[in-house]
Amino acid sequence: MSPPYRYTIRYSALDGRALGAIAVEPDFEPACAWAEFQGIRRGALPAVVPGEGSDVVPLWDPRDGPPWLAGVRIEPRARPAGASLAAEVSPAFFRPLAEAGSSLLVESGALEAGERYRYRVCAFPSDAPEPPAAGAAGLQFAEERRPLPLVSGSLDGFLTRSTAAAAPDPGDHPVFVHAAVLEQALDMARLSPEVETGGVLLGRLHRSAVPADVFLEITALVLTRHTEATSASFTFTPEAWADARRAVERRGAGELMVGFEHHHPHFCRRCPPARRPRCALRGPFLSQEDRLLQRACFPAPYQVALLVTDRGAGELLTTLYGWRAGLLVERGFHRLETPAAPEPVAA
Amino acid sequence: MSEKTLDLWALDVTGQKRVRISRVPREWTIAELLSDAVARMGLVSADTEGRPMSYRARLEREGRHLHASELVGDTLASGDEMTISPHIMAG
Repeated sequence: MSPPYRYTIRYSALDGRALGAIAVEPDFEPACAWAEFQGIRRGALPAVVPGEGSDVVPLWDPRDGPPWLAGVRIEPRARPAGASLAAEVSPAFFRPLAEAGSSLLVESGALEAGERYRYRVCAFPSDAPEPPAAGAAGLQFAEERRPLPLVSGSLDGFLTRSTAAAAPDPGDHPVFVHAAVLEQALDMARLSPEVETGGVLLGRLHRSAVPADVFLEITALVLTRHTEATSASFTFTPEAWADARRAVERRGAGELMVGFEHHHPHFCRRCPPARRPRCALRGPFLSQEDRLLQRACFPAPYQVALLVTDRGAGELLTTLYGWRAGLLVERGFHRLETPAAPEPVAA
Repeated sequence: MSEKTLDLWALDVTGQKRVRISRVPREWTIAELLSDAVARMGLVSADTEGRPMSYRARLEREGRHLHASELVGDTLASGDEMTISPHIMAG
């Protein structure tokens, strides 16, 4: 097992002046789960979650060496002899941490608001002791290892019944969204042009034998009660989550909660028309809150977020986001036009 | 005399993460249990502004959300399942 590391971001001005350093705690959990999921997709790891965990290994900058990072490599601990299941996490993974840290430098006066800067990430072997196995009061926590709920499905069969709605990345697990789900999300956005709408996505994970892969079918969009919506937010209350789980039980189709959907109204409607084409809010994006929701509620590597963006003049875009090497990124998907008859669902 | 602790199951909001929590003191409040469980289950503990995230525990056996001030020993039985759900906003 590789030693744990502590991470620091060092900032400098564009003229090279050192601005300061911030200690950070990168959240590698989605990246580790993603790396193990890649092994499950290829049939190299048993379809059991959680897996046996992963080691995070620094990739040192080829020019400057330690402690300067060029990225990290995730190495699942369980792997067949001779097989490499390692996944690399790009430097972009650290950008949100760097941006958050820069605001601390602004607060301290080391950096002017709006001033541009450079940053580099360092890693040092940590001398910190391992966290205790039990809490202060002696509580013990043990996550149950369970089979990933897979049903058999033909990837080729799904592909023949679908159209690519956005170019899929060949490294991503395929996602098929029922046309009815997309139409429902678009209809909700049309009916509520000034207030956000949303719901919970249900679906099933399929194991395809040929070609060997795991793919996601999104079968339903559940509009739960007990949500709260404004022109710039959509809130899921604990009661709303309970409502979604009741919907899963009521449907009795062996579905999983696999993500959430929401829509961004036409945020630029009150802006001068000349400014709209340049406005970042006009296109699809996930806000910090959206990303936190996905991390908090849907961190599994196969889970997704569906966004409908109102660009004005009746133009609505659907965009899907998913996990890739620890980052939540825009990703491709397939629109499933003719869902097949329900397939047997594994217990 | 009853045991001073009990064992529970805690589930995340999707039900896909299931954690066994052992030795929960009966005299603890649900708020104390939630605080420990959120931290130890790897759930997100703070919002984008750094404020503590709000979670509630739902006791599946009774189909209700528990109040933060209820006592574990008065409310829960060994083997109970509770779902931990956040009050969370998309932007």
